[in-house]
Order: sequence, then C-alpha cells, then structure tokens
Amino acid sequence: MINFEEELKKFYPSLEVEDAADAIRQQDLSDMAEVIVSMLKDEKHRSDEG
Amino acid sequence: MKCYNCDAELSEKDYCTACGADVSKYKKIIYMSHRFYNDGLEKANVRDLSGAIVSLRQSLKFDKTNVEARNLLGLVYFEVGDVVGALTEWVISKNFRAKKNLADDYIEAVQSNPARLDTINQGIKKYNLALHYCYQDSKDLAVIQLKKVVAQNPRFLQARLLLSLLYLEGEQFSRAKRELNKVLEVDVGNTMALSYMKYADQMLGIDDEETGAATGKKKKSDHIRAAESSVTYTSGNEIIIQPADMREPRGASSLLNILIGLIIGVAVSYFLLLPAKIQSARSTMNEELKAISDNSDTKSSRITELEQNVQALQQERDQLQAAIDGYTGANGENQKSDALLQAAKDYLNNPEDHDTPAETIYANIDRDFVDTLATEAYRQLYYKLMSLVGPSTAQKLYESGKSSITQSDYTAAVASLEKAWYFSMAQEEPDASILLALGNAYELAGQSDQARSTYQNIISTFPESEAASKASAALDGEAPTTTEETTTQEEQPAQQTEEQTAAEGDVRNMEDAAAETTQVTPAAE
Repeated sequence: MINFEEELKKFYPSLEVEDAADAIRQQDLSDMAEVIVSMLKDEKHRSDEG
Repeated sequence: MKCYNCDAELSEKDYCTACGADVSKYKKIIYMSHRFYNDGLEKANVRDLSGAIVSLRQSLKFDKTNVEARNLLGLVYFEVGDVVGALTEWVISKNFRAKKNLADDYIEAVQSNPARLDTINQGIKKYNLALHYCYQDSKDLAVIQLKKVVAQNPRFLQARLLLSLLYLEGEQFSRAKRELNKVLEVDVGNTMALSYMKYADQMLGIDDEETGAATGKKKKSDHIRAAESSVTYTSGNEIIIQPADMREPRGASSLLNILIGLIIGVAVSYFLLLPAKIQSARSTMNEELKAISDNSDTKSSRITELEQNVQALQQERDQLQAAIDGYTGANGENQKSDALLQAAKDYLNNPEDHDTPAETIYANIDRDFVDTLATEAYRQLYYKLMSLVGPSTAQKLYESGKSSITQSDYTAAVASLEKAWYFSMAQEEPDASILLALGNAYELAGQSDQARSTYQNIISTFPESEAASKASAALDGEAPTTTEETTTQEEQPAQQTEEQTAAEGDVRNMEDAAAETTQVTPAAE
C-alpha cells in the first residue's frame, strides 16, 4: 500500500533556469581525491616536522 | 593522470617520478572514479538512467574533476527533464576544463533555442505549482497542471511520476500505469516508477506474487504463461490483451467462412426479409385494388345517375315535343286556336246552326287541353261557345244514341253518346242520364270494362241522382236501364230555350273573347 503523504515527501521542487547560478555556487564539490590529497599532505608535513 | 603535488604525468609507479610523492592511494581514488564512470556509462547505454545517475555521482564523489563523468551526468539529467541540473553539471565541467570540453556544445545547444528553453522553464514552474497544490490537498488542480507539463515536456519524468502518484491516490490505476510505462520507456530502472507499477498491478489484480506460496507459484506460472501467450498493448485508456497465438484465418478457411456467411445472408433474406417484402407488396396491391374498386363504384353510380337524368330529360323532351306538336300544325299553325276561332266564326255567321261549330270543336279540342294548358281567355271562349251550342247538340246526340240502341246499333250508339257526353260535360250541370245511357251502350256493345268505369263515374259524380242508383244496380248485375227513364221530355225544351236566350245575349261578349283569344294564342304555345 502506498502512503501518498510519504511518497509526496520524495518529490522536491525542481530548480528553475533562473536558479541555475545559485545552484552552481552552492554545489558541494568536495571529493575523495581532495580528502586523500589533504591527508597525504598533512602526513608529509608532519613527517617533515618530525 | 597527473601528480596532485607537482602536476607531472604519473607513471605506473606508486610514486611520482618527478617529485617522489606517494600517489598509490591517490591513484586508487582516481581509478574508483573511473570505474563508477564506466558503470554509469553502461547503465546509461541500457537506459537505466537512475542507476547511471547514482554511478556517475559516485564517480564524481571520488574525483570531482572527472569531466567525462560530469558531462555524462549532465546528459542524463537533461534526458530525464532536469535541465537546470544538466546545465549545472555542464557549467562546472566547463570550469574544470575550459577548452576541448563537450559541455560547451551541450550548453550552446540548449542556449541556441530560447523558445524551447522557455517552454521547459514554464513546465518546471507548473510542476512546482502542482507540487504546491499537492501539499494543499488540491489534487485535481495538481493533475491539471501536471497534464500540461507532460504535454509540453514529455521527458519530464518527475512530473510523470507525480502525476502517476496522484492517479494511484485517485485509484485510477490504468492511467497511472500508462504514465509509469512512459517513465519506464525513458528510464527502465526508475525505482519509484517500478514501485508504483507494482502497486498498480496489484490493485488491478494482474500480479499476485504476494499471495500464498503454493498457489502463488502456480498463479505466477499461469500468469507467466498467460503473459507469454498474449500480447498486451495500450489503446487510449484501455489495456488490450490479445492472445499471441491468435491468427487470422487464411486461404481456404477464409473462403469457406465467406461462403458460409453468404449462405446465411441469403437464408436470412429468403426466410425473414423476403416474406416481409411480399406481404408489404400484397398489402400495397390490395390497397390499390380497393381504391380502384371504390373509384369504379363511384363512377358506376355516377353513370347510373346520369343515365337516369338523361332518361328523365328525354321524357321531358318528349312531353314538351308532344305539347309543341299539339300546339302547332304541319305548317306551324295553332290548330286548337284556329278550331275554336273557326267554331266561333261559324256560330257568329249563323247562330241557328249549332252542328257546324259543335263538330269543329269536338273534332279538334279536347277537354284536358282546355282545363290544363289553355289560356284563361281560350278557356272562357271555349266554355262560352260550349254553353251556346253544347246543350242542343248534346240533346240531339243523346236522342240519336238512344235511337241507335233501339236499332241495336250499339257501336253508333256509343259514338253518339260519347259525343253527347262531351258536350254535356262542359255544361254547368252535366246530364247524368247521358252518362248512364253511355254506360248502357258500352255494356250492350260488350265493352264491360268501360261500362263499369262509366257507372262508377256516375256514382261518384252524381251520388244523389237517380242515375247513380241505376248505375249501382247495373253494377250489381241487373239488366241495362233504358235512357228514357232518366230524363223527362218536359225539362229539355225549357232548358234548351233558356240556353238559346243566354246565347243570344252573349254574342257580343263572345266576339270580344274570340278577339282576346287570337291575341293570347302565341302565349299558349
């Protein structure tokens, strides 16, 4: 049995064309590679200090 | 692949040959990104767009600079109707690689058709409005808006999914399935669409997987067999399931079927239609015959009526012709008028001679004409003349008749007495004894019918007279009575004298009447 109210929560307002710029600016662009590079750099920095 | 530290090209070594940095983990991350990109690409190729989006997002989580993955994600977004999402990915992609980037082409393609972009944007706005209606529980308005959206942008899958959800809520499962089928045509792995489809099938009783295990398996196998042996397609709002092995009859069987159909058609015509036609034709013919018969009867009666009219007219014409013939002679003269005038003239020339005018009158003028057709002046002249010459002539003829009876000449007696009665009858007081003598003469002459008629005439005309009792006795079978007994000799001279005196006094009046008669004659004709 489908619960209409629950299903309705899965739908979100779609972004309009005017909102594209804001959407791009708010995009979360973090990735694993960035995290790994940061970790590797921190590790290297610590080894250089030690 | 380039070193994250010095941006030099990396080799197969786990370290950078340029700066010596450890790149083993970095390489694994990049490889994971590539793997997810490949997975996303494969899913996109089989139109599992939902799966492709998941894989490509995963790829970008590992390496945000994976331009190919980002461009493909933009394409998939565009395909499912999320134009803003697509543009976002392509713009970011272009930011990571400014040159030689397919995103340039994609962005240009979208921006080169502003009308289309505006239409898509209007569709997005309507979708958002419909979603707003849904939250306000205005489902009917939401359905109306969503119908407009999918009409403008058929690939807007979110709009179709929301519309199908509304249909499911409204228990319009067939319509929901139709929308879901269109979603699945674009995105075969759309989890939400598959979930809704399953629910719709359950509600329509098509899929019974959730029933008992044993019966479920059996039903499922039946369902599969049924599905395998049938072809299902949608026509408008209806789902039509047609057996797969249904084949149109061909060749001889088709011909046979056509033949059977023709025979049935002819039989139906013969047994059902033809009798009705015949009955109709018969009734029409009977009605026409009835109408003709009625018309014929009317005409026959009309002909009979006309024939009767013709006959009546013919009789009237004959009577008129006879009357005209009576009035006119062969040379057109009026015989009766002339006779009366001639008699008057003879009397005026010689008043003593009664025989000549009496003979003229008797020969040419009958009483019926005088009493019915003659003019008043003619009638007056006739009776005046008869009063002058009639009594003496009647007496003379009466005597002659009696003499003839004595001499047993009954034929002459009848002639004389008929003539005597003609003159006596025109008098004011006719002599019944003359009529009685005429009856006797008839009887003696063997004319018994006329004798009986004459006696009856006496009885009815002179009921109180002695002649009437004698006539009655004669009718009773007694012997004929002699005429001498009826009239006394003394009365006759006295009567004759009175009449002669009156005749002399009326000579002048008669001359005037004769002149008047001459003038009136044409009118009598």
